[in-house]
Amino acid sequence: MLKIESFTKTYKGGKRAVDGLSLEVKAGDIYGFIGHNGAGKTTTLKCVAGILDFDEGEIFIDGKSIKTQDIECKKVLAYIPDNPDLYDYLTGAQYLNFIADVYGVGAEERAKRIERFSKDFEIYEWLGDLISAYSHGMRQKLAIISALLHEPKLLILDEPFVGLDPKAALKLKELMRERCAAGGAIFFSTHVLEVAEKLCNKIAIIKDGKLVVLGETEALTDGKSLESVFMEVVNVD
Amino acid sequence: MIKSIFLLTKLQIRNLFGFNEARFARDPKKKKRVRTTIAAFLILGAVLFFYAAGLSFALASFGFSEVVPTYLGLLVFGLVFGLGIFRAGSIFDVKSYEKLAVLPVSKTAIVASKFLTLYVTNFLFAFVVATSGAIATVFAVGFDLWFILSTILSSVFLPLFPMTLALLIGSVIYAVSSRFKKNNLLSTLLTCIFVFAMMLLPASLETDMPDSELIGGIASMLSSLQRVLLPLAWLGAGTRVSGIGYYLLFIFSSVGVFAAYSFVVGKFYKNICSALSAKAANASFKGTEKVSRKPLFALYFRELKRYMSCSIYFMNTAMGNILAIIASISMLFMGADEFLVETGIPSAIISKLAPFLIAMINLLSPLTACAISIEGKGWELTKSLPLPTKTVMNAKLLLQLTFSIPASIISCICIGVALKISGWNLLWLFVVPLVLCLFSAVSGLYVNAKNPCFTWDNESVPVKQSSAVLISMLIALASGIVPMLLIAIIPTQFSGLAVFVVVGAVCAVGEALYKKLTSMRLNDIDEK
Repeated sequence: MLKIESFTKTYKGGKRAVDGLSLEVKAGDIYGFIGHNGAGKTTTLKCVAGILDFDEGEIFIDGKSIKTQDIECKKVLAYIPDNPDLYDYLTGAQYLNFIADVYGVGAEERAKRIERFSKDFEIYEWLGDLISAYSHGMRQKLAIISALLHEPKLLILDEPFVGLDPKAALKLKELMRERCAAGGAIFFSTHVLEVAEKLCNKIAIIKDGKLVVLGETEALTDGKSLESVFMEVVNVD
Repeated sequence: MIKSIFLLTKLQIRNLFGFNEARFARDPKKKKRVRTTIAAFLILGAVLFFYAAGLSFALASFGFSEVVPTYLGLLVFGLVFGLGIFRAGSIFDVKSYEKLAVLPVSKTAIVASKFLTLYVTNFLFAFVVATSGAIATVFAVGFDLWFILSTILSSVFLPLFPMTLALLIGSVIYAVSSRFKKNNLLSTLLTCIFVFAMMLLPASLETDMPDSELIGGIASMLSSLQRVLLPLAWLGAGTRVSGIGYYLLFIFSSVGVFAAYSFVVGKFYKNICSALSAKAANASFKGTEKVSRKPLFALYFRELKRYMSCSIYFMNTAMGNILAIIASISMLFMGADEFLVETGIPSAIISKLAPFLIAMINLLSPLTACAISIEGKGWELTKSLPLPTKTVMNAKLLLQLTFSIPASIISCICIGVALKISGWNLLWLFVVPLVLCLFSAVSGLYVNAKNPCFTWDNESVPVKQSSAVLISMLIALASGIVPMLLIAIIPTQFSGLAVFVVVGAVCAVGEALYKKLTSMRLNDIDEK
C-alpha cells in the first residue's frame, strides 16, 4: 500500500531531516512511526501525503508514485496533521461537505458517513457551529471524520491521539482496526508508546532522520516493553 | 479541473467580508462587524465611483470620449496592479497550501482558485469604475448601446491582466526568495525595489502633446499609455461597434494570461511552497546572549520581529511612509516650481497644505490598525502575560512610530527645503505631521481594539480586508482632507489659526482615545 524507498529530505542549510529512509506498509498493517522530537517523523508524513517535495528516493502509494501521479495517490489516502488547522470560518458540516465534494462522495453516502462518524465521536450536534467555536479535541475529531469520509485505503496520521478524550481515543483505535480489517493500511506517528505497542503490528523507530529499527512489534519487543526498546535505541550514540 | 477550481474558490470566498461567520455565529457583534466592513467598502466604492465618473465626464465633454475606456482601464489597472503586487503572498501562504495540497486536486487548480479568490474584490472595484465611467460618458456625449454594454462587460475581464502581471512578478519574487534562508526579508526587499522601479516608470513615458491644459494632457498621456499597455488599446478600440474584433482580442488575451499564469505557477507551486515551508535548521545553538529588557521593549522587539518577518504586513503598512519619502524627495529634485505646475496646486497655499498632505500619505495605512488582529490565535498568549494593557499597547504604538516619525521628518525636511518654507509655516510643517502620526497610531490601535479579527487563515485578511483597516483608512483620509479643505476655503490671514485649532482638536481627540485604549481590559478585546 505504501512503499518508501531511500527517501531523503534536506533542510535549507544542508542538514538532512530524513536520510535514506525505506519501509513498506502493507494492506492490513497498522504501522507505528516513533521517534524523538525533531527526528523527521512529520517531514516524512508530509512528503508521503504529497505536501512537501523531497530530494532523493521514491514514495509509492498503491503502486503509484507520489512524485508523478500525486492526484491519483491522494484519492486513496487521507492525512491528518498533528495540529488540525481547519477553516475556522466554516461550520463543521460545511467543512465535511467540502471534503466530500472534493473526493466525490455522493450525497447519500456522505450523509450516512457524516452521521455515523460524528455520532461515534459525539460531535453531531455541533456540526452546525463554526469551527472557530470548537475545542482542540473537537477539531481533532472533525479532522478524523473528514479523513474517513471517502474510505481511504491508506491513512496517514500525525499524532492522532493528542487532544482526544479517552472515549474518542478508544473509538479511533476501533476505527483504525476496522479500516485495516477492510483491507486498508495505517501509517501513524505517536509518542504514546503503550498505544503503539498494543495497536500496531509493525513499528519503525527514527532517530536524527535515520531509520534505526523496524519490524513486527512482537519480534521487536521480544518480551520487553516498547518503551525500553525505544530508550535503548535512542540512547545509543 | 473546472470542478476542483469551483470547489476550492467557493471554499475560499465563502467568508468574503466575514459573511459565513456572521451567518452562523451566535454573537451579534460578528454581524455588526460585517455591516461595518460593507459600509466602509461602500464609502470607498462611492469615492471611486465619483472619481471615475468625474474624469470620464470631463474627458468626454472635451471631445476625448474615445480615450474614456482606456482611462477606465488604466484606473482599474493601477488599482489592481498596485494592490496585486502585495497580494502574491496569499498565493504562497504555506499554511493554506498545506491544507489544500493534501487534497486530490491539481496544483494548477489551487493556484487558479487562489487567483479567483483575489479576483472577486478586484472585480467589484472594476465594476464600479466601468459602470460609473460608462454612465458619465453617456451623460456627456449621448447614448451608445454598444459602448455602455462593452464598457460595463469589460469589468469582468479588466482585472485579469493587471492581476496576472502583478502576481507573476510577486511569484517570481517568492520563487527567488524561497531559495534563501531569510526568505521573508528577501521577498519584502525585492518587492520594495520593484515598487520603487514602478514609481519611476511613469516619468519615463513621454506624451505627444505637451499640453498645459489638464484634460488635454491626460488624454495625450492615455494615448501614449495605449502603446505600452496593448490590452487597454484593444479595449479602447473594442468599445466602438467597428472594433468588435479588438474587443474579443481583449477578452481572450485577458482570460489567456490568467490561464497561462495558473498553469505555469501550478507547475512550480509545490516546489516553491516546499522551499518556503522548509525552515533552516542547523541545531548548532551555543548559548544565548546575556541580555535582559524591560517588558515594554521585550514586547516591542517581538512586534518588530513579527513585522519584519511578514511581507504582507510590512509591505501594506509601510507603503504610506515609503510613498511620502519618495514624493518629498521627488519634489526636492524636481524643484518646487515644476512640481506645482505638474500637480496644479496653487503656490499660495501649498506651504499651508503641505503638512497635511505629507501626514495623509504617511498615515494612509497605519500598522496599528491591524497590530492586534495580526496576532491571531497568539492574542491568547498576549492576554495571559502579567502585564498591564498600557504596556502591550505602547509596544504596538512604538512600532508604528518607529517607521512613521522618521518618514515624516525626512519628508518635512525635503519639502521645507524645496518650497523654501519659513516662519510659522515651517513650524507647522514639522508639528502637524508629527501630531497626526501620533493620532493615527492611537486611532488605528483603538479602532483595531474595538474591531479585532483573530479568525483568519492568512495574513492578508487582518492586514487588507478587516473592518479596522478600512475604518482607519477613512479616518486618515478625513484627518488629511478636512483640514486641507478648511484651509483652502478660509481667508489666508486666518489659516494659521485654523491649523492651530485643527492641531489642538486632533491632540485632544488623540489623548481621549489613548486614555480609553489603555484603560481597556485585554480580556475585553475579543471577537466574541
